[in-house]
Amino acid sequence: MSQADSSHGGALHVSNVERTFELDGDVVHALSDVSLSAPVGSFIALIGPSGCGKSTLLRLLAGLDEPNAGTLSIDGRPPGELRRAGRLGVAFQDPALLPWRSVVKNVALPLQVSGQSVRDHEERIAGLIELVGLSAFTNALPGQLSGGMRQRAAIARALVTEPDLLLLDEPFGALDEILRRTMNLELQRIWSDRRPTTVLVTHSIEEAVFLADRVAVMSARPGRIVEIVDVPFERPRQPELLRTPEFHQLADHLSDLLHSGVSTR
Amino acid sequence: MTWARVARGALVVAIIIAVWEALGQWELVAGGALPPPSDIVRQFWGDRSDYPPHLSVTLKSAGLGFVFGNIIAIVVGVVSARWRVAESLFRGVGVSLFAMPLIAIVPVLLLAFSGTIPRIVLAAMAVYYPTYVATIVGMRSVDPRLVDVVRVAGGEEYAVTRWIRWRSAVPHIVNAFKISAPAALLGTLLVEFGGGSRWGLGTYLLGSLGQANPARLWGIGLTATIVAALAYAMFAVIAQRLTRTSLSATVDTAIVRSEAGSWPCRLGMVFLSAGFVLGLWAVTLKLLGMSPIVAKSPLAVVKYLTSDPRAAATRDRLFDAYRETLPLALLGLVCGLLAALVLAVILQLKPTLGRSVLPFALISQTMPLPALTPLIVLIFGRDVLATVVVCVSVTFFPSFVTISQALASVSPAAVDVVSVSGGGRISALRYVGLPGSVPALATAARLAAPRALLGVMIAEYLATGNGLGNLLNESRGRLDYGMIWTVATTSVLVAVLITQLIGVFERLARR
Repeated sequence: MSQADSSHGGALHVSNVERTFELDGDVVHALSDVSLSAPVGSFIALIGPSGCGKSTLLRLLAGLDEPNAGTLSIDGRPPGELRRAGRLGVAFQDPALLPWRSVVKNVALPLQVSGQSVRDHEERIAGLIELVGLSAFTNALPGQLSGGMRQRAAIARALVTEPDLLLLDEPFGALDEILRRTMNLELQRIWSDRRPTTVLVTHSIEEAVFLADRVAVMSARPGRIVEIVDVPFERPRQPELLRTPEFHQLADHLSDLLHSGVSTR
Repeated sequence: MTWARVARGALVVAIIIAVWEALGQWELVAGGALPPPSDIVRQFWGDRSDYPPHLSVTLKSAGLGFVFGNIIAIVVGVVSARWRVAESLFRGVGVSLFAMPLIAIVPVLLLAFSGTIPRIVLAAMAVYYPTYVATIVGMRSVDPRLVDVVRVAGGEEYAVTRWIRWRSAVPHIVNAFKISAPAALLGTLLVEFGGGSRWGLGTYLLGSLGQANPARLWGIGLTATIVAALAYAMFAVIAQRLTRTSLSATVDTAIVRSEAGSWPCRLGMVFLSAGFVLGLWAVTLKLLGMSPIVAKSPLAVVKYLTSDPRAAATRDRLFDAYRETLPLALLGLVCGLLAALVLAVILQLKPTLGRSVLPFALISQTMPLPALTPLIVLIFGRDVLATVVVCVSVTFFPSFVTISQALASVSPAAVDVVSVSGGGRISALRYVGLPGSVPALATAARLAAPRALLGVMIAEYLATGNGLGNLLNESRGRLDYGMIWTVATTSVLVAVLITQLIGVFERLARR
């Protein structure tokens, strides 16, 4: 399980997962009979309306929460094991940078937490900061950065342990459309570098189709997967792809699925 | 903009000094009890060689107490933040230290220790509670998103504490330092009033009381105030800096609520933590190896009040003292709360006027009470009025802060509803602000009640010769150790009961 292992893992299996919450005596089905799998090195996008349990599913995959029924596994082991082994990378909706740490120290945090030497990985940290375009801001505090820069720092942090599984919870949700497209291109570039198995939660159909190998469409109340759609486009994908009829056809199909998911509730 | 504010502030200060000078020069206040500033400065210059030895002893004791008290508070706070059981266990100690009238245990400390140790111990006790609470709140109210970051990197609770909790608690703790630094000075001065050593600002003040030299008393009182204000300002600046780099705009600071649980379970915890306090008391006496004649254990105090041959007479004296002290404390508390409410309302209606008064309110908070009392007595005499003024001066500031925060945090939407229907600031205050601040008033009362009791006892001890403060003084003179311990114990108990009772009202008002 060492970091140097070139044949990294990250095969994902979710079967018949249920997660309910109790709110003022009412039982809310956040997730109902959710099944999903992803081979090593694949990129899955989860899209769906607010409250469909996307983020809940992500927390289960991160081992931060337990399902009421069903199983989740990564390489045949429970998610908590992957987390404790420091082989998981997560970028949340909110960058959640430690406000008292500079960019470089924020990026280094997962290494410190998993008990690895920061000095041994200085090159990797610098490389990641360069990859996300923050080289000029290495020693800046989060308060001095723009929203987009903070988010990029958070992504660099998620990648610093060279994780087998990368979970992205609407990492660009707070950015404007133009910046978001740039960041999507960047993410594809960064991801292609090492190809960790990736699950991206997003509101944006365009983002999902542009980045993912497969898109899982979810519906709300109860949160469940309506359909899983394959995305056939070649990589690396270029911005021109967004203007092709094939892209629009697929996006329209997903849009229909999303709306049917809402109306059949 | 800022320069204009500085200029206005300087103008206000100049006017106040000019008025004070006039009042003093023509001996308009209490027949010359208020000396003009020029006399105070002249006297201070004449006494300048007296100050360094007194001041250095006081600062050293207060500083050591500050350091030790804070170290203990932080350690206990960290442990309490981590384990609920520890929190329940130490709650009794915290509540007792918060509520106890510090002066009540001065004689006990003077019996138990010698030299400057009693000063250091009381300073440490005065410092403990604010830092303890700030540590728990700081360690607990961490941003859950940051906790998740550490957890997904494979960290468990230990890593969360190491990488997140510690650093998050620092600004809270430093913020508490700015309250506890003046408190350390207060504790030290109180013991110095208790007599004993030759040096110390309190000793100097006590020695100057009978000299009919108001200018000297004012010089000492103002020196103590300036020292306290400087300590406050220093930590305020550090805290502000730290907060800027450690709390991003989106960090949420949830207030820690006390734990729920079934009735019997909570009652059990109350007994456990009260037992812990008593145990601590008994063990400390054992460790110090004090003679049982001088040092009374919890059991000895109970015996003194019940089975001792003179128990009935003792109880009568004790109850008489309480009958004198408690109504005054209540009166002082009510007056202090009213003054705070009035100023908070003025601040709300006339913000500019309020802003120029605010710095003086802030200084009043750092004023060390013992140094203040002789000055108040000089001006207001030795009767009820002086006691009430002392009470108001100590209860005013925390109440004012609590109430004006509540008035200011009224939801803008609710104020809009009033202004849309044609109401002005006064209607907004009447229909929205004041009703909304009732819970804050209860909170203010709970925070201020122990200070009111302390204020009355200090006035009684130093000036009026009534009530509990006097009983304490008399018992010291008569070497009535049983009474000394009894006053200390019962006053802590009464103070805890009063604050808990107000706490119940507070919870009802918050519903």
